Amino acid sequence: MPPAELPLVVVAKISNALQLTATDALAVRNGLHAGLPLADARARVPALDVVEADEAADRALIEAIADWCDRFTPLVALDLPYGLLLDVTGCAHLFGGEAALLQSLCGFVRKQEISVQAAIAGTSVAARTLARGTDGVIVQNGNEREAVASLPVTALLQNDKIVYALKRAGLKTIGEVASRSSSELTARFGASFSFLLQQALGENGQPIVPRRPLPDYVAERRFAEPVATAEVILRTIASLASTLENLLEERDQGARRLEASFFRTDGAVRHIALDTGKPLRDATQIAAYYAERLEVLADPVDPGFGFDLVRLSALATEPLEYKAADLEASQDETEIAALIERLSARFGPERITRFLSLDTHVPEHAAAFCPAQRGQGPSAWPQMRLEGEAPRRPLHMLSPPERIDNTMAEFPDGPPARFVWRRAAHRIVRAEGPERIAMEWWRDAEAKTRDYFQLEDEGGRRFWVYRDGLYDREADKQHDREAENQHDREAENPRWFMHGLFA
Amino acid sequence: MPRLSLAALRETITRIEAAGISLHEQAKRVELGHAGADAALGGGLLPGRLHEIYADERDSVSGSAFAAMLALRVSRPGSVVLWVRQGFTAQQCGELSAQGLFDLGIDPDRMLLVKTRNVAEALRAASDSLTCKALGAIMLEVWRQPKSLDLAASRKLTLRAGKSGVTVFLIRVAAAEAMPSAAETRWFVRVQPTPDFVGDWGNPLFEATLARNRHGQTGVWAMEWSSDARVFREVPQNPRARISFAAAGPDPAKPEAPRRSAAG
Repeated sequence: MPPAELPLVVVAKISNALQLTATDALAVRNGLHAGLPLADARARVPALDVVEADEAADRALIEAIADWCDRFTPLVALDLPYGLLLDVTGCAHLFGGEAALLQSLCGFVRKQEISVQAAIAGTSVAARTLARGTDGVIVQNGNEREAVASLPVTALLQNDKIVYALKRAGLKTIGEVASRSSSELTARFGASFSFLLQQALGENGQPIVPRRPLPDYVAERRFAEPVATAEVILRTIASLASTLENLLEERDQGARRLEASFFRTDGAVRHIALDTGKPLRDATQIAAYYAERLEVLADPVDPGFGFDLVRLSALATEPLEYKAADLEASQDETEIAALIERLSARFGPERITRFLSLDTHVPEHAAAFCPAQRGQGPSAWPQMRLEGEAPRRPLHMLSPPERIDNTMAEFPDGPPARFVWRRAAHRIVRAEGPERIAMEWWRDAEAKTRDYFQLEDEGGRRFWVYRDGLYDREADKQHDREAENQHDREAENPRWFMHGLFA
Repeated sequence: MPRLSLAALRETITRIEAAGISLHEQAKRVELGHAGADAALGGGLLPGRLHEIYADERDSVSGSAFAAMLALRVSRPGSVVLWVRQGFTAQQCGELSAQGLFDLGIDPDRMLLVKTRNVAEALRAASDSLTCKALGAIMLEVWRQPKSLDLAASRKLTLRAGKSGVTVFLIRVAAAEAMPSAAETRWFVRVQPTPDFVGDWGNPLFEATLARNRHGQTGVWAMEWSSDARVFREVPQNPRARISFAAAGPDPAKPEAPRRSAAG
């Protein structure tokens, strides 16, 4: 026999005591409500189904619903913990009017077995108040005052000291509160409360703060029948790209950051961003880059039962200017730039790099791999090798340097005569050095000065190794005051590292 | 009927191969600087082809360096060289060092580096980039013996290289054995120990085996790279040769020890 259904309550530790944060309908019928200590609730209803609150999961759910709501308007704001605000100004007609929009939104959310209350009004606060107090109400601008009048003050404010104060003053509905003069309310409850009330009454509407950056330009396509094949998706992107191109052209803009959003019929939304090195407008190029990007996604866009909405937005744009320099730029430069864009779109900008020279003597920091998309400034590579000399720096650098073992030196502060690296023994026949490189104290105060040696083993292989720290006697001279036993330890066991391999 | 057409195709191929290469292409050959190797190559390395450089795991740096030097010889001055590597190779053999390239006489600013997650991506990157005629050369560094790198893949690379005129250098590190391929030349590169009579730290030395050459002879040479002249040379056979060579340039005197570069 299945157990009888118990009232479900969600609890969280608030000021050191377990408190109810949410209740199901059965619990409400039993007289339980959020804010009640769990001990009190158990006293009223001994048999309770208690679940611990999971704020992260709640947040993830509301975010997912918000993602899905992006299909109605780009202006979606979170109204934590349980609310969403949508600015549908000018959008409703796309969905067959406000009533149809509200119905389709609530219908979908309910299909996921999530209970929902919604309302549309002239200001976000009025809509929120209505949604909390009723469900499915659409109020024309200017009629908010009557609409909210009969609602309890808890619809306006929740779990607030002001609510208790209002109740004690005998003001149970918003209408009763609104009948008092504004100056009276401000004096008693503060300016922010009277401002909130004004907004609930449909005055002083404030714009909402959208959770995602508002795109500069948007092109989108809705499908009556969900689409799922890669071919159709790519064709859709291509046609959206040409719409976007027209939009961008009107303003002489080019996109620096694009985003394709795929809205699945089951509510999942996937955003794929694409950064470009230069402002981009050409639809063929945009489509080609997206084709590259989508093909190599480690986590491919899963169409599930299909997408019913695909959107392409330009999140960041810049004026697209044809400079004189562009005309002069050689054919080769243009081709290389296009290649960089193509490869970056396909493999990710961080994988297509160029060398960037940094002004430092520390070998591992002397050069960085810089995304090629960012362009290239003039690099200055220091001339370390004199003419006629052999290379002073290895072609391959190990990152991080690898420890070498069993080092044996012929004389104490000399280069190792033999060592073991990656389990292979090397006997050294030729050595050059030392080249002393001091570490930069502002990077790492602990880093020791290194003595680098160029070594060649019997087989002719050439290595770049260093001793970490100065040899004992020198160290004493330099750091007289430091603890001596530490130096003794270092001298007994100087640590050697393999840093690079010469050709 | 299909048998007949296949035979006809074979005949055509033999005819083309027997005929060698056109005079026009012959004129494009680029000298390496090493007399023996240039003679075997019939005047130098052919651009717009696929060249393979094999190196042992322990000699991977020699393989990379040798390929980079060939690329420097073959590519137009100042042109961009695309270097495709697997991220894994960088961990195993070490990252390419800009200063290391610079010290070999190769401008690091010309390098465009692509780091891929796997071989398939590396092949794809190289193959796609071959449509870009502005590139000077493409280096494709592949670790071990991936299945995807078969005859078909190398034919595709050769074909595309021929179309665009961009030379491809396929560096095979730690490959167990040479695979059948459509490459123009195949080299096995090892490090060559510095001769005993050479006192100072010398130029990079290679023992290069030209194991396959579609249009010429094969051979084994000891080659020295001059980072100043940016050419290959014969390795001096005796102390006298070394002296005469050294006299040509400024004396590579031993630097006073310890060299000291302090940052701060």
